Amino acid sequence: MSGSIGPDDGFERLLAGETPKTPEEQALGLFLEDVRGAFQAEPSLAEEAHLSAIVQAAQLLADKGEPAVRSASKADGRARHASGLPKRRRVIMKVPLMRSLAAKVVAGLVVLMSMFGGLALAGALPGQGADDDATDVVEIQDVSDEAPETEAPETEDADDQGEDADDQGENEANDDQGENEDADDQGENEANDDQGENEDADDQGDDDQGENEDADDQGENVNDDQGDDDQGENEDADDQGDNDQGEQD
Amino acid sequence: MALGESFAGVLEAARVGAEWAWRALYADAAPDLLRYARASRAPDPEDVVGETFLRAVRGVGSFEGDERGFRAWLFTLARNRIVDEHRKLVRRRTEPLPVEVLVEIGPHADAETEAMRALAEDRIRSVLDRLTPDQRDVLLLRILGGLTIEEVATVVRKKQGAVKALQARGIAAIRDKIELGAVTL
Repeated sequence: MSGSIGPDDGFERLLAGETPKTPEEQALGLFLEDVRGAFQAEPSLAEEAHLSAIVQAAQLLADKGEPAVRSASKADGRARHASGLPKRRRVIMKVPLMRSLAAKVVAGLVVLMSMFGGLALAGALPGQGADDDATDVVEIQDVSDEAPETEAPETEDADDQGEDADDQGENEANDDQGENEDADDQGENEANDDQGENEDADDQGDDDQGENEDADDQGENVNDDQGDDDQGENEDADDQGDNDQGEQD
Repeated sequence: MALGESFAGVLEAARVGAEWAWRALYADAAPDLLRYARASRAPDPEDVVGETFLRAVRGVGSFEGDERGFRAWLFTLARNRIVDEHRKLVRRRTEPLPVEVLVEIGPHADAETEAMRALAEDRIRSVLDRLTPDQRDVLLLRILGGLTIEEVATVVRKKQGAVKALQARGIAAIRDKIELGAVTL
């Protein structure tokens, strides 16, 4: 602050319209004039257009408020209604439940099911007691009728057991065959071979006719196998049954 | 051409949409705004002036201040518009104008005057291009807008000290050009 004038001070004086005091300020003053002269503001061709738009916007704004926040649907309305933010309304959509045909059908089925279900639980349906008696009768009949029927399957089961026993007997008969083979060594080998074929054929049951003779042989063989097993006896029984079937056929 | 003591009445009339009031405000500030827009290389300086006043119309209801404050506010709106235009110019591709439009917006004075002014404008621009954008903005607002340090600080949204520093650096940057007489015709 010793009296030295900085460039900013001279610049401020020149902007204030004072005359330059130093050569530097004089040069700076010339620069300012050149700047102002280079960018002149000649009359604008758009001046009238600008003014008309400005005045129109100003009058519209003064009459109806801020155009930017005015809803388009109320643009022509009164100022009190035109201004203000657009209102958002909440619309609740009420859809009837029984609108579609499927919903009606389902509702009818539900009503019928519930109605008949209730009647069934209460036992009020027509003929519901007779059915109970009928089932009792059927139960009794089942017991009486099934008794002979169950005997027959028992025999079949017994046959099966016998067959199973036959199988066991076969197995053991094979063992017996070995024993028979030992006996066949005495001269009845073919008959023992037939036995093996016959036993296999017993399960098939088709060859029973031709097997009867062999069965006789089996009987002989069984007789030969005497006292070995009860299974041998079962085989006899089976063979007899088979023979019977063969006779029937 | 300042409105002076009548400014308050003009402002009230402008708020109610009086045409005469807006004409007065436009006549007072539009020339300086147009020069500032041209010096700032606005793509369409006249459009900047028109948009500035349209924004002023929307915001005049909430404006509070005197005439200098109103002027500074107008320059703030203009500067924001120019900044937006420059940003759009970067993003958009420039499309050439038709010849008839160029004739309408072209020079309207005699050829010698237009040539001298174009030459002076080129020299001034060559000097201003040596400055940073902030320095150039501060000097243009002070020279063309006639704004004070405080008002410029408001327009550019900087502190007064920062504006003073920008002004001093800007003047120092162009001092050699000024002393050499490269600027003056």
